[in-house]
Amino acid sequence: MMRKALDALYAASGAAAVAFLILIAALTIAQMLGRLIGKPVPSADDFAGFCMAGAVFLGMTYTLRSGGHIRVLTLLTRVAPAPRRALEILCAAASVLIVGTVTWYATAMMLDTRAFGEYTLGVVPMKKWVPMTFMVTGLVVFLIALVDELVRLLRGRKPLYVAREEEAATSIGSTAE
Amino acid sequence: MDLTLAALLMLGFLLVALALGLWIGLALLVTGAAAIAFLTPAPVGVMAATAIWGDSNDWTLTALPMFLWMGEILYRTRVSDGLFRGLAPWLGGIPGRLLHVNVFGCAMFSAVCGSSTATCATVSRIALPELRKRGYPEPITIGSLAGAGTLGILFPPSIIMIVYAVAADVSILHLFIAGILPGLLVTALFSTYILGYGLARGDAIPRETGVTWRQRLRGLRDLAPCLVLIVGVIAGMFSGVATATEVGALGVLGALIIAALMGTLNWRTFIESAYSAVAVTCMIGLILQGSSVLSASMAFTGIPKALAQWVATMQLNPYVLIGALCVVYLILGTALEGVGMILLTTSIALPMVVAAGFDPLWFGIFIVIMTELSTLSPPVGFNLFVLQLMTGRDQLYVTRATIPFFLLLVVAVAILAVFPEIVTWLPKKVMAR
Repeated sequence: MMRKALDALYAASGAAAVAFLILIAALTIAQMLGRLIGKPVPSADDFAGFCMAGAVFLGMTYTLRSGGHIRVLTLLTRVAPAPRRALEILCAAASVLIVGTVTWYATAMMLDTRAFGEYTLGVVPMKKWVPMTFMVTGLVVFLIALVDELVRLLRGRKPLYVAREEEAATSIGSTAE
Repeated sequence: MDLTLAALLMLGFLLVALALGLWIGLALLVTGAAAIAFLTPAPVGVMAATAIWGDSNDWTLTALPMFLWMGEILYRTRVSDGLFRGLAPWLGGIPGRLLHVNVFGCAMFSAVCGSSTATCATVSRIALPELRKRGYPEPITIGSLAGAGTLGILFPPSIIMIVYAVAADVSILHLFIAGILPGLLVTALFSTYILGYGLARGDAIPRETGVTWRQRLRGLRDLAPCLVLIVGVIAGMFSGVATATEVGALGVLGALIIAALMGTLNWRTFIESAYSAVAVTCMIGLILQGSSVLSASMAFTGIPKALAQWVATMQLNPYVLIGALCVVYLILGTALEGVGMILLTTSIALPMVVAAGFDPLWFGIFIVIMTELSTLSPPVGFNLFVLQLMTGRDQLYVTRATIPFFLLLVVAVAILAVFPEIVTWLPKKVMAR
């Protein structure tokens, strides 16, 4: 039950990120066409920025679970299983701590912005806190997924990202370089 | 606290965090946060949240997912098959023969793809079996594919250039345009080497049967999809009206049309390509967020400025400075991949390089070539890894085969350091319009 709910949450977050990606492409092309016929899309840059934040923060969890976030594996892959497990627990726990703190302050920032009623400065003024919800939602889901992986580790099992990293060592995946 | 001590402590802390296996983005983030907390009176949490949000909702970043997506769509088509069939009849007659297809195939594909690894994998996937079937010597085949694959990030579009442009606050399009002549320089160096190899060891290279003009013209048809996209991307870049994101979005559209015409477009490949693009975007996004916090801490502590002043007082010869940076990046490149390397170093190194009289665009190209070298550096060089998997050879064999091309890239850096105009001339022309 719990497992299913979590997986559905992660899947929804990833699908939302993909939707934002498609939205960026559509918005950019609409903006170009609009300029061509002399009717520019108002505040398109603001919207594109918010979609970018949406794609990045909401896609964070999918990336974690597909082993996409990169780290230096030189030491980890060269130590014995017991110290490796200890290191993995240390890293996962530190990540929970770091992301947890960031989530806390990001939420506080969003609530402050809402309380002050700040607006963007573009042609179409928008409430600034609304797009910040993408960041907060994405971070919360990311935090939950990190705790999930930490629990998996503590129960003596292999985190998903480690399994994916091992698979990646035998296939060609996507990188930025 | 003394700034030198503070800088060394930060560096040590960061290296430990990285070595222990913390994600690169989080390692940068926590190092930056620690520096703010211990070295400045500023409130850490608020500053970190502001820096992260401020750098994440920037529309200029949207160029990143667009070019990534374009590459992911093309990777799932058969554009590369056409590249080999199209180029082979044109290049089979010159010394070095079909080895030139590796270089020119990579150069062409890199003009539509922003990643070295994808360029290397895409061209190798088709060229490697063909060259093996004909009995080409394996080391130079492997070396030229790994080496020329790195052109992926030197010819525009380039994911690494977008990351640097965002970090250094220069125009993405100007940096793209700055990469064209250096890209041609590296292509020329590589094919000259192959030409020399062909002349010296001509007997090792299998002969081609006679090629007719009819076959050559048919080859052009195979190249057409790629050529149309290249012309589109370049026209968009030089048009002066389109933004980098717009060029990228048009690239996505063009790639989708090509995929549809080639019959490789279906719901599955569409969704897969989108998820892959999201994954790489978020991978870079997390590192960007960490580096936002680190850069904010740098600005507060004043370490980069102090470092730039210190380097300035030493009255170093600019070439000595570039040589020293070269060594630093070669070492960093053995452990870190390009995005982490660039976002970690740009805010620190750029002030001193600019103080030494180099253009930020020039330093961008320098850092791109350093990233290319890192993809050829063991133990974690991605292009080495691609060819290890594809040939079944071990890393030592592949690395050894790649050494000549590694050295040629170093030669390219030296040429660019002596003649920086190769980088800056073209973008200046465009800016002057």
